Amino acid sequence: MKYREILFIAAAAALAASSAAADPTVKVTVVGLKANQGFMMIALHSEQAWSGAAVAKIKVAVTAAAMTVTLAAPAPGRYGIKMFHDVNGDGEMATNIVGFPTEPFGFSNDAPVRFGPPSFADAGFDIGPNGAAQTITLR
Amino acid sequence: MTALTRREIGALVLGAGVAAAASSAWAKTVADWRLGFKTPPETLDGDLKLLEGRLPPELQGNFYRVGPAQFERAGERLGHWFDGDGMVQRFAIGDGSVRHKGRFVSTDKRRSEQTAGRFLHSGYGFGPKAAAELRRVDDINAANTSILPIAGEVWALWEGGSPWRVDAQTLDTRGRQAFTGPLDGAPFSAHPKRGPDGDVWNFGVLGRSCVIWHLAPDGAVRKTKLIELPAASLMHDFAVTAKYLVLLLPPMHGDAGGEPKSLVDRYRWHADRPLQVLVLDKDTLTIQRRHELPARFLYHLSNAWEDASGTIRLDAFLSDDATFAVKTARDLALGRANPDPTGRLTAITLPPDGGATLDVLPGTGEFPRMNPRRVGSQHRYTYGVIANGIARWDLATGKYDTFSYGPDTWSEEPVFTPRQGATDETDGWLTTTVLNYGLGRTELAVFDARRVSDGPVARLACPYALPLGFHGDFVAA
Repeated sequence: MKYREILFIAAAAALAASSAAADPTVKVTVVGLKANQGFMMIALHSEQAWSGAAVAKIKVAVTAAAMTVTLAAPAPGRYGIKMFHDVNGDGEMATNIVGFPTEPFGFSNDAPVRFGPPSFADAGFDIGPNGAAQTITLR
Repeated sequence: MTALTRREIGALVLGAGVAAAASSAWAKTVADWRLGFKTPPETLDGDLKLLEGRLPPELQGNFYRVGPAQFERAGERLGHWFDGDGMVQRFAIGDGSVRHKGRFVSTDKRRSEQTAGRFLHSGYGFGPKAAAELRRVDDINAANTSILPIAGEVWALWEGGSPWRVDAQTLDTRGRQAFTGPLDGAPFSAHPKRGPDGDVWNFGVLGRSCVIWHLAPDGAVRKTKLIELPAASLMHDFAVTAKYLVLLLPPMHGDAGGEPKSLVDRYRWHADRPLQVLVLDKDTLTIQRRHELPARFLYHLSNAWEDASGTIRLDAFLSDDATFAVKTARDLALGRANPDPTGRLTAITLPPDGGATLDVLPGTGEFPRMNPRRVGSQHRYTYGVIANGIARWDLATGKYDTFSYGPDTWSEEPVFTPRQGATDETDGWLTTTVLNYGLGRTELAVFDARRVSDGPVARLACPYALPLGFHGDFVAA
């Protein structure tokens, strides 16, 4: 192989990599919104901070039973989503006196809950250079 | 009435039943105690037939009961008695006749499992093969444990979820009792206490969190408080006195670890730990006193009261351990064994200095009830279920009066209804049901509470057998 060709391939690969790195987004389709009021509060978490601070957040007014939004990850990798429907619009996930959510919530992969948030093992998914898509059913 | 006594008539009827059953080995095989754990049709409506005696003309009203009634789906057998969908039974008693109506409570749990055609939810003690997630406690609320008549309707209650509202006449399910805000979906136990003023007190437990409820007679919330328990104890019932709420925390603690298949699998029996007692002030809902009893398990208390010195006295059926919760209730649902009740009625004295004494009464039983007008004040008599019958315990003398329905019967909770205007504690009736599995039917029995061992003053037969239930209440007309 000629030097020039190698250079070309390397450059093309670098270009591809950088353009992909610029778009590690996840398209989130939320279904099961029961009231056209309040906001969807969606948070993207890394594995390390599954119980901590989100790497990206979005707040969107609820206007339909199913809605799609996009969140950008800082880099390709494995992430999980936590979300709730802030029906009363107070910015907080409402809970009852013993701590159970009283506003609809959901997780990536529709990961099952058993009296607590799912593990990252159940909720984690990959966001590649070309992004990812998730459908979350509120419950 | 003929010259025969009620007892003799009862013996003739039972004798005939035994003979009939013995004449057909097949009938005997089918009609054993497992009849009480058989799923009934969706709806039941029938008139009862008088077998013996006469209904007291003053006893008019509706006798409600509830119990688990769905025992299999898609070929899978329910694995624990406490997880069957609740069916409310109503016996409308009036003008010498009794009409029965039975309807399932249409809970979220039942509706989702009816739609799926299989068991979906891991509950109190049962984890189905394909268990769905647990989002909120009401996902597994079977509304199968007790009845609270309130505000013209009846609430079907469960261990730790919301009350389910049922129409007092049609028994149609009206929906989940939606307490608002932070009380939405908060645990409301199956053993609320209604005091002489009509107010309702209750507790509800999730782990170490315990919600104390104080409701007005119409169900409106007067006050609630969240308290932290010293341990995540499997607590089913409590007691109230004039001044206090008394919580008994058996050493069945939620520290089993692992991957529990159901709620009770989260708990472990600790024979080396005490049964803790917390005494809360009714006004401030703060803990006033703590007492420790030896390691015992309990489901039900009868009543509590405090004397002038501040000593609290109560009685409850105590067991040596929690075998019923983890084994017996599974054996019953699965048709493996039906042991006699093991609880020993125990008078418990809690002096203000924090000590405690236990006085064990004779016999073994369960499902204690007493004159509801005495809730929170001094009572002398507790009534309850014993093997094949009912009993009355005299706490003053330790005396024990019993009545047996005979073999092939399963006796259910006796509910006390005071006679109108009565002042004597024993002046009233006990209304109760008994599964006569030898004859393949449920019977309603009414006793004069002063003369339990004389047997029922009236006994009537349902045209069918009902699944064995838990608790009930009588709403006088």
